[in-house]
Amino acid sequence: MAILYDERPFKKRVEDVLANDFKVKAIQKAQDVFYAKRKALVDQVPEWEDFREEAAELRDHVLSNLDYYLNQFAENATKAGAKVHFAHTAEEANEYVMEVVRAKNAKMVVKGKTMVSEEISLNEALMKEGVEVNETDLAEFILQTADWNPPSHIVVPALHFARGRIREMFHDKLGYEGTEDPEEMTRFVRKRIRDRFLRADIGFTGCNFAVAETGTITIVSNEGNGRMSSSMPKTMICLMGMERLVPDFAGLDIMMELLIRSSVGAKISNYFSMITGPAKPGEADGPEELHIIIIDNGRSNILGGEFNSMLRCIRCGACMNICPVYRHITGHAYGSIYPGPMGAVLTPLLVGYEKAGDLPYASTLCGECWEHCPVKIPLHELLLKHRVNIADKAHLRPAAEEAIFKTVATVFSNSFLFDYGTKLGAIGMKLMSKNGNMADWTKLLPVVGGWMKAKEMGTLKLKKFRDVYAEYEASKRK
Amino acid sequence: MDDVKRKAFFSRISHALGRKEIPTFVAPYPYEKGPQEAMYSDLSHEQVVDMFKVECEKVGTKFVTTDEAHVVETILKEIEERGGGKVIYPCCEEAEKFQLKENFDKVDKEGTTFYQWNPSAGRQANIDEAKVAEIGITFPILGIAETATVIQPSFEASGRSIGLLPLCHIAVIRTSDIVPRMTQSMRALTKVYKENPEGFPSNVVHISGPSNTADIELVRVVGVHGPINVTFILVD
Repeated sequence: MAILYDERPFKKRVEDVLANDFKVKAIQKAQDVFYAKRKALVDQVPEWEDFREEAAELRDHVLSNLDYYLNQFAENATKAGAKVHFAHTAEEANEYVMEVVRAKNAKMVVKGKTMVSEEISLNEALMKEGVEVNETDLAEFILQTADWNPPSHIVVPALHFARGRIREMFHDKLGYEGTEDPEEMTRFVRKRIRDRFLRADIGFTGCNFAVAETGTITIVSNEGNGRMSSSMPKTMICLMGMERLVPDFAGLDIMMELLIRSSVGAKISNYFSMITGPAKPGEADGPEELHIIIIDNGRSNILGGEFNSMLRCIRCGACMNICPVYRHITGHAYGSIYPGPMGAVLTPLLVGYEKAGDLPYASTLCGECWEHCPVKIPLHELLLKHRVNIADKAHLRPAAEEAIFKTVATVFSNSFLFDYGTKLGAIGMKLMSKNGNMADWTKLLPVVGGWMKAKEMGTLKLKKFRDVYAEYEASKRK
Repeated sequence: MDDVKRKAFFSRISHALGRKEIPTFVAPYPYEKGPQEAMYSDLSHEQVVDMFKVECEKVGTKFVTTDEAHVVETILKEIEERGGGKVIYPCCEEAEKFQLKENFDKVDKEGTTFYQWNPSAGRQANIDEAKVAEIGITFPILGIAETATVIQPSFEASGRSIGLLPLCHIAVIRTSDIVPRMTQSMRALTKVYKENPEGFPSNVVHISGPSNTADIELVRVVGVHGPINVTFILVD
């Protein structure tokens, strides 16, 4: 899957989502459950704000020394026996992967959950090469079975499928004969994937945090697929975004304090693997070869610029678990593998305003995302920055909107024009109103119609505050 | 070719950070500013161990307590409670110390068999044994009280498969190795690394209960790809 998997206009995507009640309800339930669980845990940690502060500082420290730490990481990982590759683009990353695939004559691979692999469209590249790909995270497995349906949430990406629908797909495509009980279906997947884990030529994983001082990569998982992918196949390929670093093991302590609590409202994940090099000589399992592909894919353009703080992101999903807009439109309205507030900031940075310039508008700028972000990314401010850039630098607003705002700016900055303009407006609105509100037909007007559809709009009064105030001043003088 | 790409890769980063070259020194991040060191510093070791047990109960991880003299007995009892079957266990120091092989050889129970991890038999042989085992026994090196976590390294004598492929994982850990937070366990691992970087285990996994998922309608299901049951045996 590419970063943008649905390039239709934003409004079209939203319409589609709103027509699917189950999907919207599923996301709302996820928000409510994760919110309550997270809050209960965070309330138990009086030091929470101190941890956020520390994590934000630590991430900034790493980012402002990224060349140093990345170099240190690569050297130490190499010393530990890993083969480290650097990929500037998605294409380069896939080329490295294919080199390994060909060298190993790999026919079948297993994958733990990795967002970077989606970023670079790895699955497509592998399948083009004739390799059988097996997603092993249960949700990703469901999405794969649903003909690579896109994710609706970053942590629980297949929530938009009801159990009955999952059963149906398992039955039709995989010959599953059991009930729609989640446990029974999970056991079915366990059995099916277990066989793949044991036979796979290559195991792919992502990397939650890489440790510079030791050359260690780490994988957070609950299902154990991260452990399996990094333990059973003879060859392991780890894909990591180049910003995913902590200086040392002590840094892991800080990030792990925040990551799991923020994402699913648990103190810790069931598994947290630290992998330092391939299996040592004499070990009877584990990867004999470990490749680490460090991916830029647009990140160096963000580094050091006005959106630098976005690179602090640890992909926990806390921002979407709280976002009122995401709540209503779900991940699918964003059309990006990175949805919610973090996605609305990151996606345009990775694919450009021409393709994703509508995403920064999918926000009320309420700032809850920032309040809940474990690394204190000022997401609402970054969204606003995007809007300023889109309007002032990229000039990507519709011509009509541009003209309207130019006129408004002229009128508002001139007291004479403002006075007469608003008087004229009051007369105009009175003509278009019905019972003190704007008449229904105004919903059909361009631009303002968008407002009228969503809320009741009162009318401007002919007698304004400044008239009342002038009268008051005049009465004092009498 | 790789070297050219690597240079270009780094020069883009350095350039974005407003410099021409990778710095040769960076002042370490001052962790002492953070709250983590002070947390639980007023607890006695006994209280820390109690916290571990309370957390186990909260998340539903089974634990049993025992002492040095009764480790084997406790393991055998737990194997029985978990329904027996094929048991796989490591050939590490602890296994030697508790004479697991000698003790297991004496067990004569219908349906219960034992396999000791044998690196010299090679990859396939060991994985083939582990994949059909019902129970795997390991000896974690550290425990974290705050999250009821055990830390399991893999090495020649104790492969990854033992605590991963069987349906049930029994982890035997000394209560003296339980620390309050990841703050202390990470410090201990740092020490292990610094003493001998080449000897640092290739895989260290933190385990906090049986594998689970909530991917279908947020319904919690225990046992996805990893063990379905986990027991921690705490040795005083």
